[in-house]
Amino acid sequence: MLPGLLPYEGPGHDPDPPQGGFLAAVSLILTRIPGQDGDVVGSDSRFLLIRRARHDRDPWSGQMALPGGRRDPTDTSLLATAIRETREETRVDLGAAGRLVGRLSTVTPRTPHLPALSVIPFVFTLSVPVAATAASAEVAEVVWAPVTLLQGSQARITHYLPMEGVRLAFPALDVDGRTVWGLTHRILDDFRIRMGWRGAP
Amino acid sequence: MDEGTGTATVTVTAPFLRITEIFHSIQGESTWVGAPCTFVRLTGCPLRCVWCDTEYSFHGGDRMSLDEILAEVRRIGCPVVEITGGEPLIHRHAFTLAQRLVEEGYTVLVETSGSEDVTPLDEGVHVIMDLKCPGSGEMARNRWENLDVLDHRDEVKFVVADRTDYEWARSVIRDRGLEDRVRDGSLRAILLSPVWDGQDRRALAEWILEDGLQVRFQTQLHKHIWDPGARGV
Repeated sequence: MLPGLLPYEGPGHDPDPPQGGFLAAVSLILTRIPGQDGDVVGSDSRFLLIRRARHDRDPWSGQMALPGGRRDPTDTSLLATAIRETREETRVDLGAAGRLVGRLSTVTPRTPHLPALSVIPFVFTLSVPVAATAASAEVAEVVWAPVTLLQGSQARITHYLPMEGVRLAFPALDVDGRTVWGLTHRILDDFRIRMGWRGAP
Repeated sequence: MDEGTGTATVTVTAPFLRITEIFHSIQGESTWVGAPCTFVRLTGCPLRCVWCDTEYSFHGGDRMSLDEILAEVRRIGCPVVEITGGEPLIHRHAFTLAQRLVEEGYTVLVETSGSEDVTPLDEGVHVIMDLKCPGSGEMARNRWENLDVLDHRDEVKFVVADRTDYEWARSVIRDRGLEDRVRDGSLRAILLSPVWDGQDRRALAEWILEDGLQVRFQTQLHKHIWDPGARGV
């Protein structure tokens, strides 16, 4: 367990799907871990992001995201969902190389036109470097982003979006020209706050 | 859309807001400092000020209808109510909530980062508006037009992280004639507050005195009373 993260209490504690909606799980995967338990995330750690392929029926088409997806009826738990989806999308085998170090707060989309969805984020560390590839038609690109983007304030940007006739401002992260915002930003921001990273002026 | 029968159903929902907490405490900042006050803390903020002390308000929260919020405020029964966040004014129903509270006779304070347009707020509201200094990392978010809208009920607040922030605040105050506005009554107050764990309080107080700056020096009173990291105070 990484201090500050929530425990995963097992499949018996998985939440019920929201009314008329479904459950999903995503993986926040951190690399380059020094050996000891106490020093899991170093300043040279990286975390894995994907860019979703453009798809007319995907409400998050073309956006930056964490690997993951909907729970499948054959998944024995939400943790199994996160591991399966990560393997299908990026070929990273968390079952073999990953260590579960906790989970983050469950998030749900705030925008009314998005599907009713509860997303449970799991956090993993990798004991050995593992190659990631865009392995599914849903994934356009994989990016190992430096964890320093979360630790400092220099990558923080604002993403503006017209909605219902007004321009809304969202906190966002600039990952080498790619904008991470919305649900994925909320998950990463929750992780940042739980890690006690405040940013520097 | 009900997929079972193919008939579309329209659900009329009451206006709602996402609420991190509603609590009764002593007002810790502004010219209302020391007064018992009900705080309505809305969830979410588009800013990420480096020294933010309420990051727990960025995520989560409970969905509450305006009627539920008003019922809780009435139950607490305090005549002074502050709407805060996060940044409360990213929620369009925050404006409705403020108006309803004014209409019910409450003294209503709205604490805002200054990044959103304050014009639609009910005239009876007391706006406490930040001007973000360089050390916050969010200076680019200052919506300077808001200064023209503030009036005799309203206050401007600078949170100072270091000497650079202080000098920046001093130039803004002097260049924009804010001291004159307080003197002639078209602005209620200018507040300067040190970052709790960053700026030395005494140094800031001495800089203000040396420069004869006509502002109000403040520290966050609630952090002297309770644990500085405590929620709901």
